[in-house]
Amino acid sequence: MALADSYKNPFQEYNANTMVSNKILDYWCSPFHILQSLPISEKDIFKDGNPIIFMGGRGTGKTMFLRYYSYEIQRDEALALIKDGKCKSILEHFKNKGGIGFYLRIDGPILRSFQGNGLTEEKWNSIFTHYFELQIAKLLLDVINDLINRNELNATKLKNDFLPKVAKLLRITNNKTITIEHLINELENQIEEVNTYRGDVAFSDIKFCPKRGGHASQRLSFGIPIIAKQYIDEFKDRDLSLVLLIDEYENFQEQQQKMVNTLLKFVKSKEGTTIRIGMRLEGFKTTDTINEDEFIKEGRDYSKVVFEHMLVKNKKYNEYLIKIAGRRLATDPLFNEKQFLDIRGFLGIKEDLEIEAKEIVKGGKKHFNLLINNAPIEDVKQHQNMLEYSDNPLLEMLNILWILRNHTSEETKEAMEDYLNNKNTNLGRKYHYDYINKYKLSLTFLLATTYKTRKQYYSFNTFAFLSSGIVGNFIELCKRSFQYAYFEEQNKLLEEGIIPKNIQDKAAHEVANSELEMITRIRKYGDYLYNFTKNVGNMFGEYHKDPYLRYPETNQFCVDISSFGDTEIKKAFNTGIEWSVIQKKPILQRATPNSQRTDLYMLNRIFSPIFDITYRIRGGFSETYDACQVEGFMKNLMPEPTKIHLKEKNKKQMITQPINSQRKIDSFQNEVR
Amino acid sequence: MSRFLQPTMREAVQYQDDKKYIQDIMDILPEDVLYKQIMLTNEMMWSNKIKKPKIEKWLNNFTGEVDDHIYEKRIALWLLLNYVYYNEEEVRHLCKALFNKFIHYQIKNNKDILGEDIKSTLSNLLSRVCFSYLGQPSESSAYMLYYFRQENDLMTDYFPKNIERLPKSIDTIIYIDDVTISGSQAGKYLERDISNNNNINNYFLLTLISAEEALKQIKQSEMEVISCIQLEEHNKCFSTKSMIFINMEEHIEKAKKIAKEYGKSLYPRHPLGYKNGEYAFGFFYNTPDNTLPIFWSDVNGWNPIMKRHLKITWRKEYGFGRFL
Repeated sequence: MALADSYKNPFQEYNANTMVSNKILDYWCSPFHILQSLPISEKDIFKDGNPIIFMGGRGTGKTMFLRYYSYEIQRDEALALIKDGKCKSILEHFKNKGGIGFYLRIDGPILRSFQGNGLTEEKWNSIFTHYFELQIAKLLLDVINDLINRNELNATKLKNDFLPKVAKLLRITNNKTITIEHLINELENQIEEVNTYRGDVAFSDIKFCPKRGGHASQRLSFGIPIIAKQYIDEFKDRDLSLVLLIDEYENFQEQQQKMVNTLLKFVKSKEGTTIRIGMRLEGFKTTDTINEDEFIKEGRDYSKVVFEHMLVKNKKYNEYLIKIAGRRLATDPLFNEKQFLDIRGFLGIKEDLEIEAKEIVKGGKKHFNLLINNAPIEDVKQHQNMLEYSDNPLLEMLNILWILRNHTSEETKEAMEDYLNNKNTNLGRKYHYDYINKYKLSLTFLLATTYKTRKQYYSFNTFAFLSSGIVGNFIELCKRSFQYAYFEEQNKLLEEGIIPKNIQDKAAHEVANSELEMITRIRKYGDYLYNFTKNVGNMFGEYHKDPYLRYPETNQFCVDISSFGDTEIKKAFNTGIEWSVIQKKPILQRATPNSQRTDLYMLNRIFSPIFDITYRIRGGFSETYDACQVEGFMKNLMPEPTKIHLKEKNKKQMITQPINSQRKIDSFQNEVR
Repeated sequence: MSRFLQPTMREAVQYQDDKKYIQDIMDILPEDVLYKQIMLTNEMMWSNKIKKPKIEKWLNNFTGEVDDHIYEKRIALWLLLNYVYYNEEEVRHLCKALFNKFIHYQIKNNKDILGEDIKSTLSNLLSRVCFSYLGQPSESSAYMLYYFRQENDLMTDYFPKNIERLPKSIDTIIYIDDVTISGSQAGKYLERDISNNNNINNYFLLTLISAEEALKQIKQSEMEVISCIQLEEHNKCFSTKSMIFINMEEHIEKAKKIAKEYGKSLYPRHPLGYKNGEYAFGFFYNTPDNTLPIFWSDVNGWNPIMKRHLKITWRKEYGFGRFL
């Protein structure tokens, strides 16, 4: 079979929940080896006694992260290392890593089933606690059993102390001859008891009476690890922590979170056990514990790592994406043989705005209509010749902008020529500054609008920006690009390792649209968030069509959520953050150059292609919304707010606004991303 | 001055109407949506057999000889999207389903074979049957036997070389075929085999796909037909009940005209497929001639999208016959 026949989209597999172990190992790309100044080190995953909560939007890689550090994946990694002679045993590998991770994910529907049917909340809490304890106990014993089967632990030794002690915890009285299989079997039966009850309770008045009694919180989840650390010689090592990895914590109900929060608060770190939790942003339904007077507090009871923050502000984020893509490309035999392992080769490193501008105008001069329709000078045609520069329509656009901002044609022409001839004059420098640092991208958007077409979204750099710090978004963009390229331009893809920009653009639009559609599927507030995204996106779109480019690349907004009260709108807004529809900037920033620092938000940049808006964050001006406006956007109560907004600004006022009144590029250069 | 530049009022109205149906189809079937669906179908079902350049090449066959070329192309694209392609996995699955259906039929209708349990019943059933193909060993029916045997874990002994010399214990011949639309071919072979086998009491035709008319025709003989998929009136592309043009019936006649007019130069005697098949389906190994020739023909410079490998008889191979 030819290598081309074996081609499979390297970005096809996406969901870490369903990925088999070897795929996770194939695709794993450690953030610790690439990203700089992370809030934690790899060692902390196992060694830090304090619980750590990993927060992030959908697709940020939480599940991939937690699963990678789970027993199953680490064991398979150990086996590969043993095969290569780089490690002697599985346990040695775990000791090198610092611990063993026990991965637990309970499906949302199961979690939601522990309520209703006439039972009190208290009763359900007890049943869930019992169930949760059993699940963790089974996880622990499954791992120990697997280690026994792989001759890493001695089964006979365990029979002396460990197994009888665990049996006692499980209330098995005849525990002298107990085996680990018996215990696992017992746990499975007890879990089945709960499952049967969950199914039956809707149809009868039966009571839940577990044969061997119920397990209170911490009995097994803390009890078994403590026994293991005490009585299993191989676990006594202080370098080997036993770490519970709980995923999708946002699915836990409020009362269930209270129970787990209590575990976080009283985690037995001194005994070498601790907890890591993965959840969406705003995934905490409560920070209370089961003790009424106590709650968990960030810093004191747990530390928090936000994936988006860790990624989006990191200078090495792009490098990280290149490595992630590289791991996937390497799984394809053809790309491997041809050494097409750098995603930048397929997508191009950066977009070429000048070429794109030429493609937009196709030799036309329609963009000078902007001048004819808006310029504060008479006899515009006469000046047009001075402002033309066919080699680069973007310079022509900048010339138009300069005229609209009250520069003379002569001055503008001189500035352009100085810039083109690298003359170090004031005008030349200013022109260079405006073109390169300020307006190049905005002018491309404006140019495309003038020709009733769209600016294209392509190149690795653009995709990295569009991904908004969510690795899953980047993988999705690549997946669709490869999918279309294979269908439309197979030879270019497989033979030359190139994906044409029109295909990348199509992929970017498709991902954007499917993500927008996805919003409506958010169970609560989906419709509100869909409207909000559409309205705010359109608002930003209007800024990009402004011929005066007063607020170039505006795509952030400022709201004071605390002023919303405990309203539906606030809940909807927080749901938007939980699902990464809305992203909060990690640090306080100014909404406008001279205002106070405040919380800034942006729409996930993956939506940018829908609204023909920038994919970058430039800083400078941000829209400010109050609760009423947010409600208006969410409930579609503000018809076409964007146009109203822009009309409010008097054209003359815009013209006379001195160009240097805008915030200098230096002041927000660091914010560009 | 050309007639188009100075139309009469009536012609102008007509022209407007014509424009409207073209615009209609462009609105109902946007090109990018069709391509996207075809791409997804291609990935999921067509084993990535077709890529966009091949589709574009095929669409270039539609040059506007019958209708506006944009309209022709959009209709062609729509027909392609509705083409049913049976990939290898599906053919294998159908082979399994077909045998299960046969077993079920026999258990229901033939009390002689019933044993104490399913195993003994199956053993009784198989002890009296043999499987064979219709037509020549090089034809699709024989090809189907291979998959049928594999998927149903049948011993090669059940597939005798020569069905004219069968052991006396065999009283049932089961023919396996991929598709029977008119039933005429099956009838022809059956006639031959009946005359050569006195021991045989039962004849079955197990076919993946069959059409209503074939069932009627074959059931007149002594043969029972069992098939997985039964084609009906709504499966015909241009029937008034066509599933393809549901909610866009006003385009059926125009679409049919396009397929027929181009079909005339591709398969003159059957421009809409053998015996006016009007079907749009095929298998990974070949396309039946009952399917619209615009899909499969490669004569007269036509670029097919689902090429059909024609049966070449000895006369044709040596240059005889084609002029007879």
